[in-house]
Amino acid sequence: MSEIDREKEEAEFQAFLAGHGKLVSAYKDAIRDLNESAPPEVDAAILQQAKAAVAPPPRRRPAWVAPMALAATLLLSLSVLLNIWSTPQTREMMSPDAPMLPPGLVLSEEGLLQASPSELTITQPDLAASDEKGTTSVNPMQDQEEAINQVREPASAPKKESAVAPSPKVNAYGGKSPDVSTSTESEFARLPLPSAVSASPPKKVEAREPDDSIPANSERGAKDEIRSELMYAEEKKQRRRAAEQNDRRQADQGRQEGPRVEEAMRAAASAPPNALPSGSAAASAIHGEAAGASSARLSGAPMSSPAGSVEADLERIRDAMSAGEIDDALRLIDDFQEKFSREKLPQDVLDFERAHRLD
Amino acid sequence: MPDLENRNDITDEQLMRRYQRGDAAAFETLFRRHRDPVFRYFLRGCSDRERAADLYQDVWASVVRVRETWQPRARFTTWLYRLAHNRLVDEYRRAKIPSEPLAEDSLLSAAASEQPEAQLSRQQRARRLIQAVQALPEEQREAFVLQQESGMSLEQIGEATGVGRETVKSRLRYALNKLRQELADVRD
Repeated sequence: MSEIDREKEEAEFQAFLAGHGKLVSAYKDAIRDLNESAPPEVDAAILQQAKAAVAPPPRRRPAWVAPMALAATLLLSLSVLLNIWSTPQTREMMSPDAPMLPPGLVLSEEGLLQASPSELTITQPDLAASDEKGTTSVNPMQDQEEAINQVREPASAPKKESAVAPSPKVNAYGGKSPDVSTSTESEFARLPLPSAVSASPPKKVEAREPDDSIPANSERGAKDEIRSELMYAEEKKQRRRAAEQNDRRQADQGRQEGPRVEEAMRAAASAPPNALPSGSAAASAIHGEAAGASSARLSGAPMSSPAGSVEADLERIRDAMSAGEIDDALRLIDDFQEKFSREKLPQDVLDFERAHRLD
Repeated sequence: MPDLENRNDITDEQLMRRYQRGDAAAFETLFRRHRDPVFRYFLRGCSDRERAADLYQDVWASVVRVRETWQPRARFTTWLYRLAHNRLVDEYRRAKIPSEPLAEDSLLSAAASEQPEAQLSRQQRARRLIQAVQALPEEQREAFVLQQESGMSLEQIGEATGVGRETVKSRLRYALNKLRQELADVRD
């Protein structure tokens, strides 16, 4: 090989290394013409494998999550239940006996809640508290009227009604009445209402307009009458309490004097009949006490002094007289005369008896 | 991700870094850049399309598998073709693929059957060139294919195949001379 050929080969080799030359271009044409490439399914498999390798692994819950969630749920439920049952009002509301609908609320055809008019009757004194718009005004007589209502209503009236059903009288204080709003809304919350009801707001309960036919003077008179009734009831209660205390005191006194009376009776029995002056206070006292004690023993009643019983009975008669309980007073007078036939009735009692026996 | 694929300023190493951080689109870009040259590397090496496809899939699976331990100490291409070279050598040992060049008779007979050269179609000339490449000895063929397909420098080819730069250069010189001789009737 000549020097020229060697130089030519070296130039070709350098061009080949540099990416030029006929062989390089021929090879590039060849691979382009033959279009040699990997099967597409192999490419897809490779790409899928590559994606799966870097995909975040599915999150696995730690093993303690389920029991922890269960325990937390139980704890919360128990605490809520305990809280509910520790509050009496809530317990009453949650009890199955509680009515689902307040008695004054009925479902109308349109599915709206309406209040029946009979349940929304407004008492006359309450009308004074409401202005024409039905809003609440500050009523200074409110506490006193509530006390009057308590006296009027029997003490055994169930308190449940006030917690569950709205009181018609309370409605008279207008739409802002707390009992109306709270009880009605709480009942709303517990109702399995149809869709029409739950979608539509409850109809506003409005106070009835005051009746013009009732004069204002009669309102005032009724109030005064109620007030006097209240005062009378209070006096009666105090008098009854004083009489009971007096009875108790006399009974105690009789129990203390019992042995002394028995001793006096024994002495009287052993002594000659005229040993003691008959007109003396001591003798009469002894005789009277002895008689009273013996009669008390015979009747089985607790032993008490006859004088105390006379006074107590007279006090009872006077109480009944002053309380205006005529029948009771007359019956007590009869009992007194039957019990103490020797005793004279006081003049005031005699006058009372005379006046009312004639009636 | 088409944006990534069209951006040539992102190097292979950056894409591999992204894939390490969980960006599957980066791997896809990287894969599309190198899939055909790698496949042709195996195709020239084992002359069997199915086996080449298997080897090709194995190499890419290795890339996916060892992505977390990959460190950019060398170019990604060098690392990739080192994997491919090792896989191909393993395959030679396992299946006893003849690493010897194809018999010159077959090449010559093919060339003779396609007389005259001027009438050879473009496709036939391409096939003839590929056959000539595949007929090269294993080391020369590998050096030639790597130089043509991967665009690596002599040093990088030597790094991928485990030999020195001058060895690669020598192999390439022999390969070029042989091809020149084989394709003398086809050229021009």
